[in-house]
Formats: sequence, structure tokens, C-alpha cells
Amino acid sequence: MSSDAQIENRRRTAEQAAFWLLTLQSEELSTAQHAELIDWLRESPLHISEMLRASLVQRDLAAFKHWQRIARLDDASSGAVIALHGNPTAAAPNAVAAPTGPATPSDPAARSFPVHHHLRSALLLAAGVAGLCLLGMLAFTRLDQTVLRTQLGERREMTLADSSVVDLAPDSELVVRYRTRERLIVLNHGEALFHVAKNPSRPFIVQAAATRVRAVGTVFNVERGDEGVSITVVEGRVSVSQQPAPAAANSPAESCATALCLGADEQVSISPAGRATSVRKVQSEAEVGWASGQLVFENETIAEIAHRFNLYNRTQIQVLDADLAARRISGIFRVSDPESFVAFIQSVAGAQVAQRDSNHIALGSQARTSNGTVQQ
Amino acid sequence: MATAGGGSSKLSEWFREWQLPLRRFLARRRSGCAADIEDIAQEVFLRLLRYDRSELIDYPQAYLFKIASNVSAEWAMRSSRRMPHHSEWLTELVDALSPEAQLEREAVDEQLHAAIDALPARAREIVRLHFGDGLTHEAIAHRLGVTRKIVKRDMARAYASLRISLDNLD
Repeated sequence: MSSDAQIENRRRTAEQAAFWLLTLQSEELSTAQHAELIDWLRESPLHISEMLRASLVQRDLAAFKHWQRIARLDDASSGAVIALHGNPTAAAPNAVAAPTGPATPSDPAARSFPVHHHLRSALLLAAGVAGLCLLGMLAFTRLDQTVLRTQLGERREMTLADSSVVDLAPDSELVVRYRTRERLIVLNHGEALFHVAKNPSRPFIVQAAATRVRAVGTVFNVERGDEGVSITVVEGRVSVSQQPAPAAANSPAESCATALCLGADEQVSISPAGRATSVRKVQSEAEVGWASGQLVFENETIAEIAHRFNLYNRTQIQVLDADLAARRISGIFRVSDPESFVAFIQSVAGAQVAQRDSNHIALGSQARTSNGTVQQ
Repeated sequence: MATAGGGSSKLSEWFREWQLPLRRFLARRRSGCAADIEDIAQEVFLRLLRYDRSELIDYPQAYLFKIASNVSAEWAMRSSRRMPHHSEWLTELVDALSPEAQLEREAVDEQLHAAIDALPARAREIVRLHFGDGLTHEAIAHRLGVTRKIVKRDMARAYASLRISLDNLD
């Protein structure tokens, strides 16, 4: 039913899509090319589906196993290739002696065995040529800045261009600004754990409000909330400093005198006014347990703990009783399992579920159960 | 630049994490339906339109990342309802143990074989050198005595031809 013109049109779109796919995979895009790609994608859903199809073709080619049955281009300039057609064994020594020697994949010895093909196909597949990955790829093309954001209940781990890894806690936002001389991360709000790739000539700096944390190769956590900024070091050392005033933003590098050095298992908090607490010794693994799906609490109020769970889960816990909310407990919980916490405080703190529907659990104390009786 | 190549393996690790649902879907394409591709494309398209163009261009990574992850999350939800056995896909692809997967793979290979044979000679050679012999675009350009640009253009044309002949054979 499709006319020649339609087929021609489809072919042209398919070719454009394939071209963009290859461009995304092989090169860094300029801002102008970004605009071009975005505009092209926004023209028609057909353009998006063609990109998906182009990546499917690529996937099929990567999984294809019968290349030896595909006719070779007769290339007169390469004697080895022609000779191999007729007599592979006799030609093999030529292939080695030929100028293109090591790059002569038609050498039977270098030809992939089925097992290798399999493995490579699998690897190529795993390399994520498929589907919307190509959109994701844009996320790591070199640009001035990248904004990473998580919503409530969402935790995200990302590898940055220098292979440092960021774990972003729920409801957090940070901006990655990589420059030649430094790697700058601005934590707008929330909490993040950084595994910094070593590069002494390009310090890794996390800025949260006026606090700057500088690292070379280390693992540390920065939390920025209403009560200020809290920094915990898991591995290595970082230096923490305050920027003077926003007005003097382009001051030279922070002087060592004002910087605070923090080592493994040390934590410091800085108030919104810029006042630092003294350095505390902490169990850093517990402090950053959130990144591996654990919430660790030591002597924290039930209200604080409930708030933490609510950040990570759709099911929201509400503590009705003020005394209960102020009680302090310790424990380790799975982030994704608020029920275990509810069960825990029911047994440990004598709380009672006052009300429950699909996404909401309200907790009261035993003294205020629904039938009004006071229990012991 | 240096980071481009070095970053790609990290990229793939990362993709593996959050693109699984989509890849499952794509791996199932032959037995699934083309309508899924259109659905996903439509979904991405609508989301692209919801955002301001200049914002998209300034922060394409942030927006596209969000769009891609949302669509793939939604797809994961849908697919878990529709394809309860999808977790087997990876084993099938890597080991090709399942007889059905094997048959399917062979059928695809046969179609692909015919389609590759029908390509113009140079495009066919470029595709063969890249996917069969594992040469980079640069090495292919060097070997065939053409520019990288031509390699890329021929490759794109080859993808387009293959995409159309495979579609017609479906």
C-alpha cells in the first residue's frame, strides 16, 4: 500500500535516525548539535521510533554469527585478503608479512570462534545499544553542567565522567560542573555519598551552601538540610572550609588556616550560620547505610526515624502521639521495609497502629487505643 | 576526547542497572509486537513536548534522563503484568539454551543474512568489518582508504536499508 515516495521518506528518516545513533555513540555533541537533535526528536514520534529501530538493527548485527558467509569486498590492494579466499592456510604467512599484518582479521586464527561470538554478542548487548539508552547517553556527553535529581522514594546511583560514583538519596538535587582544573558538585538540597576517583591534579569539590568539601580520592557523604550541612568521611581525607560571603565569591582558593581536615569515620556539622561543631567520631558505615538500602539509627527520635522512612517509601508513617514521637531508639532497618520499623516500635516502644490504609500508617501510644482503655 | 572512550564501559554498567526493563522488551521484540515500539516512542515524544525547548537544549541530559527513566519504569510495570517470564531473557541471549530462542535467533539471522547480502558492496564491507571483525570506524576508514565520515554515512545507510528490509520480512 505504501508508494515509492512513502518508502523513500521512510528510508530517509531511518537513515537520519541511524546517523544520530552513530553520532551519539562515537562523538561528543556540541550545543548546536544538541539543539538539532532535540528539535529533530520533537518533530515527530516517528523520529523517536526510528531511533529505537536503528538500535534494534544494531543489536541484531551485533548478535549475528555468520559473517564468514557474507561476501567480502575484493580489495586488490590487499593481497592477503584475496589469497585467503582461495587458500586460507597458504595465505596465512602472507598475512603476517603484509603491511596490514596484525590487523588482518581474515586470518583464520584470528577469526572468532562461535563461543567468542556469543560472548561478544552478549557484551555488545549489555553495552546497551538498545532503546532509550541513546537518550541516556546524552547525560554523559561533555557539557558544562548536569543536574541530577531524585524524588521522594527514589534513590539513584550514577557514574560520572571521571568514573567517580554518586549515590543520591531521595528528594535530593545536585549539579555536576566538571572543569579542566576541578570537579565541582553543588549540592542544592538533600544528601549524597561520593566515591571519588583519584586525580590529584583535578580536586573534587562538593559545595553545600557556603561549605566546601575538597577531596582527592576518597569516600564521603554530604547532607544538606534545614539544620545545615553535615559531612561524614568513610575513607580517606577531605578538607572542609567555609566560603566567606557570597559577595566575595571569586576569592582565591580557601586558605588552609580556615580549612578543617576530616579523616575516616569522622563527622562534622555546620550550622546555617557557618558555625562548625567539633569533629565527632562516628561509625561511618552506619551513617551511609542508606546508600546500600539500610537505615541505621542510634539513639534517634521516633519522629526522625519516621521522617527518614517517609523519604524513601510511598507508605507514609505518621506519629500521632508526641511522647512516642520524642522517644529515642536504635536499630537497623531495611529502607524499603517500613513495616519492620512499625513492628519494631510496636514491640519496643509499646506503640499501636491507630489507623491504617494502603499508603498510610498512623501510630499512637498504647494509652490511646481506639476503645479508650488504658493498657499496661 | 579521552573521556569519551573511557567513559563508555562505565556507561554500560550504568545502563545495565536502569535500562533492563527496556532491554528485556527489546530482546523480546520478535515475539512481541511492533506496536510496543510505537507506544514507547509516543510516550517519549509527549514528554519531550511538555518541556520548554531552551531548557531541553541547555540541560538535555537532565530532562532526557528523567524522561528515559520514567518511561522505562512505566514499561517495567506494564511488562511485569504482560510477560511474567521475562527474567529468562538474559540467559536465553547469552547461552541460547532455550530451543525456541535458538529457532528465533536463527530465523532473524537468516533474514539478516539476506538483507546484508543485498547491501551495496562498500556498505556491506563496512558492516562486516565492524560487526564481524570488530574493527573501529577509524580502522575501517584506514583500511578502505576513505574518510571516517564516509564510513559513518555508509553505516547509517546500511542500518536504514536493513531496518526496512527486516520490517518488510516481518
